[in-house]
Amino acid sequence: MSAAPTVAPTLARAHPLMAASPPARGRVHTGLATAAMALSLVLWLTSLQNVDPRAMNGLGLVSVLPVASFIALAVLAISFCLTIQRARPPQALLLAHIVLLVFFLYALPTLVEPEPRFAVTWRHVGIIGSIAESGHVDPRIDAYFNWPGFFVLAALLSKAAGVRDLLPVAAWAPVGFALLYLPPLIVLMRALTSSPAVVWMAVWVFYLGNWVGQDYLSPQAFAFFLYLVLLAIVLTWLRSLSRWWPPWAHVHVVPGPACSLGGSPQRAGMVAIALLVFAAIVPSHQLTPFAVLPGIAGLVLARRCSARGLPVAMAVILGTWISFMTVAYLAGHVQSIVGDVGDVHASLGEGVAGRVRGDPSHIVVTRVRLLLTGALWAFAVAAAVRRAWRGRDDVEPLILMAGPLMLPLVQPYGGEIAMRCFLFSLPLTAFFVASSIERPPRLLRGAVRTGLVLAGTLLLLGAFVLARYGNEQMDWLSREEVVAVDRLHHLAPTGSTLVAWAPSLPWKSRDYARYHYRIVTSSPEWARIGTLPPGGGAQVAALADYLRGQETGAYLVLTRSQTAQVDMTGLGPRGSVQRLERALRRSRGFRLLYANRDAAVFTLRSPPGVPG
Amino acid sequence: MIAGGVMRAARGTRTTYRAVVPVVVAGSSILACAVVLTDAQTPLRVVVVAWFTLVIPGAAVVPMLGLSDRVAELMLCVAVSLALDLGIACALLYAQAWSPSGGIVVLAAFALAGAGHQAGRAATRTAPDGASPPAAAVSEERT
Repeated sequence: MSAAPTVAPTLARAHPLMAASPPARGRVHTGLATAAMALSLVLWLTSLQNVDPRAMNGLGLVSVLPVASFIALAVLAISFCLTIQRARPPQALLLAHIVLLVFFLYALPTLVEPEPRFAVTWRHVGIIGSIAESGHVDPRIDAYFNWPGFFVLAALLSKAAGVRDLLPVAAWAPVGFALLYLPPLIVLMRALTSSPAVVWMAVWVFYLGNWVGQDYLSPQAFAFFLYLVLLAIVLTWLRSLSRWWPPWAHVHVVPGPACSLGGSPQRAGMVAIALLVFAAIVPSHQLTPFAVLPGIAGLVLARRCSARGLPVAMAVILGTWISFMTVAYLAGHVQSIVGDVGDVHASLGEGVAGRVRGDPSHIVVTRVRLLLTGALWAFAVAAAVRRAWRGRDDVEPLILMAGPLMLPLVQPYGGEIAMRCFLFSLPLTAFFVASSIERPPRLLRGAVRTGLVLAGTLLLLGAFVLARYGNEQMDWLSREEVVAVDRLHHLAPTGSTLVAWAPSLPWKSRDYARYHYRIVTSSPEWARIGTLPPGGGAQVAALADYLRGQETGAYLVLTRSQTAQVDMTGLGPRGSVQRLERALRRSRGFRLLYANRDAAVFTLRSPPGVPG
Repeated sequence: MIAGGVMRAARGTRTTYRAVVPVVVAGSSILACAVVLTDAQTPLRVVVVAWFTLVIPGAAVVPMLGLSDRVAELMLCVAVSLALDLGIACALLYAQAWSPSGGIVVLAAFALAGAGHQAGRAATRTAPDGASPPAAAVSEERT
């Protein structure tokens, strides 16, 4: 009993965050923070009432958000930064700020756009529906059906819950996944630091830094949750108690937070759960297991993980699935997969340099993405160096941050590998960035520190909205486009080939297996069609040949979002899709079947097989 | 003395929690089976099935680890639940026995077995012969 009065001031001196604040002042702070959150919520919701996605320019949603939206974000950021600087910030208050931030940032498109964004979301809804109805997967269709775990799970859940239309669920999926990530993020950060302020700041930075947008209704979003859980398990319960260093490294390290190692049954239970979670990742997503394995193997090699056999068991699970369940896919793609192994230049060139092209505003957005990624990584490395200088033992988070960086050695992953690397390393990156608020240099304490944290947060907020929603002109889908695709399904008989000019359109959400789907800009014929003058007679004739070349009757659909995609990403000259559409309307070889202000459906005048 | 009282109160809360979890697991499992097998056309079905599939199969086993951190327990419950849901769903699909309601019944049976086991352990521990809290629960306490 006598120890308490002496320990508290000592802790307060040792760490300003541990100092007690007078209860009355604390209550006023809490009241003000609650009022600020309520104000920001009201401002946010009212400001989004009249946002018109059609008014967007090449910078995306940021170009149509009213000033009040930015004020709402700023109010929330100020409230969070002031709350986290308190001596003992109430955990519930910080949690409320984070939940509100998630709602603001991740529900933004759902609140202002009429339909779920991202063409691929619609495709995933179609795959889930197809599996739910048929009860089987055909691994010959595409890669999805060789790693169908997430889709099969979603099919079972939607059927059991009696959900007939998954599109509303898909619209809210980013918010749902972001909230699902919250518990593992908190557990993970608690394993790395004993400072509550750093824990909550790291979670805050994670959500502000996650511009990658892989949290739509997708296998990677689901697998990322399990990835976070695995990291949390390994760092919290399977950490090695002995801090081993090579004999030549004479280091004196400051111990991290206490390991929560329980008895032997608890440890065995955790290993079993880790393997169960990994076994759920493997059939769900191709890439995630390869992001997990290097980090965990690195921890074992550095003697920082007590479950020495874990990487071997994981490799066996992964090898078994690939060897037996993905044969149909691998048989047709061995060359493309094996050919890219070790080609880091191709992986990074395609994913970084290859993306800085197209419309000038699209280039700005891409540069902001690169800048945000690079800045967070650079800040994290600087913070890690500073911590190492102060004798902090950060071997585990450094290994786990570096682990996913091995991915470019394996695959370019369609040019997306760089941003996937960033996503997998983001939890650890966020930890290091957040750790910089702990014990800053003397000059940067007090109000200066609060100001710097706030400035950093506001900078991140602006960069996030621009980076994440910068391509919104092509990612949002209008109601008219959805109506046109519905009409297409009514017009095209079963077995027809549905053709789009570019990938961005709301199709495949139903009748996934009923039609063949083709995209002109992704086809081998694009090498020729793409070089012809847009909308010229030669291009129209080449397109007619392409449609005739399909095995079954072909229907072409052109939409607003495809036009935006071609214009923004430089798939063709600006306005080329509109020119093509006008030419098709005039052409005698094509028949316009349906049109509204955002879409048009065409077919060939002469039936396939008959010379036109 | 005060510290002793706080510890006793904390242990009491933990004991109540451990006794309530099996009841919630069993109740949720029976309710989920009821709404799915009767094909209930009510919005409540979505809530019941979502709650059951997201939390309950994990809640049937994770409390046996004796963690004291509720956030960690929630995280593990959801992760284990989703992994088990996925395992059952894939097993039914690849065994060509696709049946979403059958999947829910299998998961409910698993959860009921776990709840029974937990209830048995809780009853043993609250026996008046001075049973001590599990070693794992003590060792997991944060310092």
